[in-house]
Amino acid sequence: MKKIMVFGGRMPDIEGQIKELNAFCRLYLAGEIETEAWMISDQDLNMAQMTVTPEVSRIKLVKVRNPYVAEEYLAVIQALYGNTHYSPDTGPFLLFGSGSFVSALAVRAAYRLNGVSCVGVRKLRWQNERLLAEKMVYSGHLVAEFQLKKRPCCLAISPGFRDGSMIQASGVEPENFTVADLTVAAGDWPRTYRCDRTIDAAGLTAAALVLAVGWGIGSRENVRQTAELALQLGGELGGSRPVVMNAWLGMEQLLGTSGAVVAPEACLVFGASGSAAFKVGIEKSKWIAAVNCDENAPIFQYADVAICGDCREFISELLQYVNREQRSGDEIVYDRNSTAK
Amino acid sequence: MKLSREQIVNRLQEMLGRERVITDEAVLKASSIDRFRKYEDICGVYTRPVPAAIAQVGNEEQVAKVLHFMNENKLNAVPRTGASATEGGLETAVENSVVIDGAGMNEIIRIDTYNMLATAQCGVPLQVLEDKLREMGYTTGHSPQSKPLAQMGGLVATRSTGQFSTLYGGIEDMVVGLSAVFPNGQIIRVKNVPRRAAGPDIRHVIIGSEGALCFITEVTVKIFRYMPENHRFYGYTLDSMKTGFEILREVMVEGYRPSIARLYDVEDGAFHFSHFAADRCVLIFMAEGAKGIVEVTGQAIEAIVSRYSECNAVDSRLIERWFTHLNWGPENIARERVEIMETQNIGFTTEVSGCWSIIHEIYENCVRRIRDEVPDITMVGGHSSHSYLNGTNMYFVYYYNIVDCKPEEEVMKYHDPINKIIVEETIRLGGSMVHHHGIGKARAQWIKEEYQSSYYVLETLKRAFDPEGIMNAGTIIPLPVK
Amino acid sequence: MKVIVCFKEAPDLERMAPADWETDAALKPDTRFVPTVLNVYDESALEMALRLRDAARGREKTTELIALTVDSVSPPRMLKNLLALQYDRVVKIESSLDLRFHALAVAKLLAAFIKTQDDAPVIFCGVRSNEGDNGKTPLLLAEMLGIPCITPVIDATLAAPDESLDVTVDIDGWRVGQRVRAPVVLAVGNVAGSSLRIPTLKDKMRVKGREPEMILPAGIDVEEIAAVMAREEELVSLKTERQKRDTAFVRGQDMAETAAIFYNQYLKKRAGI
Repeated sequence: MKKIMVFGGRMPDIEGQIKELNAFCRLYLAGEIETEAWMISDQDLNMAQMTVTPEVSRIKLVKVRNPYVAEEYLAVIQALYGNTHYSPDTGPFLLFGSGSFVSALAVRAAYRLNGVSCVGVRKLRWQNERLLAEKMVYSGHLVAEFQLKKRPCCLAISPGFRDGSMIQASGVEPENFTVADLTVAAGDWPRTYRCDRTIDAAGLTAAALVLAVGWGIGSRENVRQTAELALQLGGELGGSRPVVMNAWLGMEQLLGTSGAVVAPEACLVFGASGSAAFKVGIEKSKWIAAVNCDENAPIFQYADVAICGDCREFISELLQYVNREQRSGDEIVYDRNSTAK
Repeated sequence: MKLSREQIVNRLQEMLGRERVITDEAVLKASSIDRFRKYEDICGVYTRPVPAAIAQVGNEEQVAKVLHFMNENKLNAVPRTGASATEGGLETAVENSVVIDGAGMNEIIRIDTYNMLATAQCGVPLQVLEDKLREMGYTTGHSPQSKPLAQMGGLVATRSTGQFSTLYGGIEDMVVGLSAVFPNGQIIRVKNVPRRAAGPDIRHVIIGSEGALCFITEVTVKIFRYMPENHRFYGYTLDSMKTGFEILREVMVEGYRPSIARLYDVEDGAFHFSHFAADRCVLIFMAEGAKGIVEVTGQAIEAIVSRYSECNAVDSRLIERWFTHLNWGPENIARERVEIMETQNIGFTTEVSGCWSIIHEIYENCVRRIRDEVPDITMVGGHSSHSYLNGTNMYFVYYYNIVDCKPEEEVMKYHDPINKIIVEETIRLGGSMVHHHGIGKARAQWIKEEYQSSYYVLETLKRAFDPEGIMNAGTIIPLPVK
Repeated sequence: MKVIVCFKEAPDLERMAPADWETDAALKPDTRFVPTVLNVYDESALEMALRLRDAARGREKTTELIALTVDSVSPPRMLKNLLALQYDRVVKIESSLDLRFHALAVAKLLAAFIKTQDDAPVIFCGVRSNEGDNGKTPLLLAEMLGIPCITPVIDATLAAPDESLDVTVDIDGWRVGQRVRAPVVLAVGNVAGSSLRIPTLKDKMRVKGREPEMILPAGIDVEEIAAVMAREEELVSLKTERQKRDTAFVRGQDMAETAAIFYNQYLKKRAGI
């Protein structure tokens, strides 16, 4: 069956999409022979300058007018798809990254191409000719497997797929395509438009050490102290949905189902009881330590190390200890420079 | 001559060491109030006099030294442990008060499973003591909603009660002995014995004194066998509160002691039980203890309820799930703050008690009057949660939108008028205006109406033990109106 | 201006006991024992629409607010609260189908109702619900209606002087601001400070006697929708994932010692990054 990776948006997001889709395909779609990548952006993408390339045999580049106007991207996908004919049995996979923009493209593309979509796919398998896609549902409490019955099959993968290897340029020469009537696709909508970089979202997801805070942290002041600890340890700070909704942390620091999914070497969790939605954000960590005053808090069930007590007191003591260590000239464990900025 | 702030702080530092005297402005402001003025706190507007310092005492001798110093210099002391108070008891009502914080005295001194006693310093959080006991197969039987926050000293000082009080009683039934320090520096100890008839029971001078007579440093409470495997839950929906009170009464009068016996009205019930009790009252029982007792109690409850055709039994799992999430910890308080900020909708509670013959009228009158007389109410209702042979309590729950009102006016515009209605109606009908939160400062204005002729005894106690009036001024006995 | 907010009430999953997660033959966990809550994104959407209405007060054209749901669990009290908050209409589309994982069917039902409306509406939806986690309904709704969809919206304000909206989107590290006009679907994401306001008893009294509308839109054939659902995808398994780690508890004499033990014996070891 044909496998098409669809990349959309801007740099450096597109690089992130390439990494995660390469990793996903190596695990679940390695056997597909006919492979393509469609790269759609308002920017002039220069493949030679990218640190990764999609592992495909053909790359198509298409330029749109505006960043992040889905209607234009969808028109491109329809146009590229329409030029090729597939039989129902061989109807292809259209694979999209985990970001919210491309995930939305997957759903809408499936509708327009009369296919089926699934968002947040974390596993794919065949069973008796049936294609089964696995994803988390019920806010991360349950795992569901769906049989996807139509083609094309538009899949947006779940966050958290990591590709450690740096793939050198594959030698595939990208081909430039143009799609004529993008104006029609978006109509006179939107009327005005501006797009600004807000934050470097990669900070949290690329960190080797993540400190995560939940409601139990209690106040903005305590969050500030945790931020100081993060700085001392060279880690990045994130929080559960309630913490972010309370504006104790920025939206870009949100961990969990509706935010970032991290997989650091170590994750320290303070005052989060461990709701399923939050768990999704940190459970891929190699090692988890949790501090909570409730011995029966669900967080302890997926922590490697547990400290039962007041997390605020613990943070304060740990911070003092780390400060003393530092003053005494001991080697500090975490090197700030090792975390990607 | 009165000491200056600086002098007070210096003297405290000499007595306790620098690190035990907190003078951080933000902490002091937050320590000038309790949850009664949570709206002012959320808005960052503090209207009470800011205390001179917080003295973090580490032992009984330090408490004695500090109190003696304050008594000599006529400085107001506000004793505090878990700081979960809701009635203004922790407000620093006069200039240059010192908050004496016993939270650092947090040692569990002894658990004696032969004589069934647990002794703890005042700063031991109830949750810590209870968790430790449960590990050993025992329980204090005390489970206020504030269990994750409240500490032993404060629980005794406010005469607290818990969710299982119908079986285990309030804290006054649990305290066997205690230690306290009086304002002149006198340290006293009431020994641990099963009962005594050697004159009046002086434990009751201290239990419920709300920091207005002395500082409680250590308490010994009863412990009970903990047998969660025997717990049984029962839930019913019904049409009227009147029927509910009748059923509660019958259970008590026929001699049964469920650990939980609760009755919710439609409005309060909607907060908790909307998924199974749309527009109905809810009656809840829990039986616990030895297996035989639980069985008999459960059967009796079912038999009594079955006499009332308006009651429909519900799946006991509905009650169990509700019960698991009943307590209030730091995360609930954090969440509440956000919700108040975003919606400008705030909720409080006022709890009273009355004998069986008047409790329904108290309930009806209060709810009706609050609904009719107070502006911007979004919800008013309540539940009965602690029943006795002679009557029960009513726990009023009310929410209002804060409209066109400065933070410092919220209490005056909404909370005081609501309290006034509840207190007036309850006292007029012959009930008590406080069931278990304490008088604090919020309800001190009605103290004479509450005590009537027996106010003489209360006033005399205060004069005798705190002649300089330095203990938590304005709590229990109001400050003179300026 | 006509504003339609699609919302859903769902079980409060954080209150479920472990035993409740065991699924039955219909692949459903037992959510009967926990209360329901407004889906968080939908709650933001409902409040956002009210704020738009507030901002539009005093303008020439009136704002009509419709709250629309397709579900079976909303307690009547919750629906009435929306009337008390001055939603002009609260409409519940009744369906006996198990729609948890069938956003296409949900979108069809919503679209059928919306198509009966004369004016082009601004349609708010939460980006996803806490049960199905499909993340599809607003997108499919926009496709069916043939109108644009913006996601995930974090703010929508009235643009002076016409009926355009200034919509802000936080998307993968970019903030996009755009001015749009109806018809459009706005899928609401993580919005800070957007709890739904609470009606007073007087607000409730004012709408006494008014009831939410229970409807099945014209032209809807439930069996046909069921058939569409069956052709798309099918839930084949639904399980909890048990991956308990071996947890070591660190306990020192006091918190200072606990912190020191934690740092030296555990945290330091994770140095090889």
